[in-house]
Amino acid sequence: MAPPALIDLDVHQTHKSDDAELYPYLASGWQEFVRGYAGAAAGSPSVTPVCKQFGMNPFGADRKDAIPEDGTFAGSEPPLIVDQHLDPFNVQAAILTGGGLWFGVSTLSNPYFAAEVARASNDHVADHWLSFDQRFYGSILLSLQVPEWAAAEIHRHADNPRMVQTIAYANPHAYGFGHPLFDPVHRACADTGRPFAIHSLGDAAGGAVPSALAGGSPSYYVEYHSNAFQAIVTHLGSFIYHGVFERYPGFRLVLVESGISWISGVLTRMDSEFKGLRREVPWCRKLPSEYFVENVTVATQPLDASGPDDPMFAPLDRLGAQEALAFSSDYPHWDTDTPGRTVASLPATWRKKVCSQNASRLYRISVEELA
Amino acid sequence: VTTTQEQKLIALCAVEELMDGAVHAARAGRARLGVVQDRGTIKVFFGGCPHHGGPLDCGRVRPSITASKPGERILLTHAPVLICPWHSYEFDLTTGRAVADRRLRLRFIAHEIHDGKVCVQWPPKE
Repeated sequence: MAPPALIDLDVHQTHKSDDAELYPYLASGWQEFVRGYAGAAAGSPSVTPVCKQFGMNPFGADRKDAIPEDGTFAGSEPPLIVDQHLDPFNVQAAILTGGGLWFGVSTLSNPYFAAEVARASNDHVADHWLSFDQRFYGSILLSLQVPEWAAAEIHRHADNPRMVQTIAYANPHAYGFGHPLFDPVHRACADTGRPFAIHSLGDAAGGAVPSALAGGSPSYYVEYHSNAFQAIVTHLGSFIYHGVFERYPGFRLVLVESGISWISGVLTRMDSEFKGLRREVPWCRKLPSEYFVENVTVATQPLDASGPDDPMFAPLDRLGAQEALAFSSDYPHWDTDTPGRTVASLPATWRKKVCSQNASRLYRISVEELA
Repeated sequence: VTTTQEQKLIALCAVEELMDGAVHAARAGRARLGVVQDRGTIKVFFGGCPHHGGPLDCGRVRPSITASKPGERILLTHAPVLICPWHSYEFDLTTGRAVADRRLRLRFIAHEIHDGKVCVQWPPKE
């Protein structure tokens, strides 16, 4: 039987060298900034933000089998992604979510440089990746230091239908991404029909303002990586309670690399509290779980389910969450979810929705099931 | 005060004691009841909140609130709600429904006015 058509919400493309590959895309004044005013590369500012130790996997972030022959970074060669991931698993659309500097661009201390790096990265994606294979779709990387500038960057790509969403990683501000200080970004997403994706794990970059974990900063990668969904929960609540889905009914939120295990517990908690406290936020007309099902898509990886009978699915089913989930692999990172195993782990009646239908509706991308 | 075989008419409070926007706490046997008045309409309800059993007879009456956009707070004085003192559940005083939880409903009990007093037949018929 042919594998189901997949739309993969999390395929990490990256550069062999951030500085070298983005260099041609930077304005000349910023080229000089990166190369150093004296012309020397060593010790010059890099486009890649510094990451805190707990953000670094001590065993390496890449799948060893996905590292190119030249020994650079997994995800840096388009043909290898096609051969290793798209072709064998019937991935008909891969949403590129970046890597390396993308995690921390919003933490660069120079907001003008951050906006330039995001702009250059997006142009690099459009030139280097989208033209290589029609199955690649781009995310508009946002530097969020100045939300008005991020909104302008979204509008700059409005006429490119293959830049299908915006994406945020680290938070340079003290409030969740639903806060009105980000309203220019919310409005730009709604006006251009682009979902706002949040990829977890960005807050390890030095310069992120919130603590990387609620309650206190972690020390270890395992500590950080297993609890990073906390920030996603914060952002989800921020969008719901600030009424972003009421202000912009077409606004769609995508939550990437936080898994799905937290969903039913968190939303049950949110619904319970809301039933008593909704008077504080009277602009919220629905239960948090209703906003979630109608406006949010969660990428499946890392999927903790042991199989289709896993106890996590019954409460998700009661929420109607099968409409809100979409397949993701996190290729080519160390904790990638194999497509076959993810598909086999889902309840049979959910598979088509999660593999492609929900994402097809979200991004307006068509797929074709193989005979 | 008249009686039936099973029920007894119990006076809860004088009509003139009731004020718009306030709950008058009353007892009928061991049961806690609440009496409210809104622009001339009197209602009596059971004091146990259908959520967690909180004392609704200690609740507050407030205008319901709505908004057309984030940040707005529009008070609807013609549609008061009763707010439970435990978890702040709001109950529409016209329909009895919990505003944010349609499964829950305030339980009203029929009342009669005798000699200027709000009275109920007690124990109530099922």
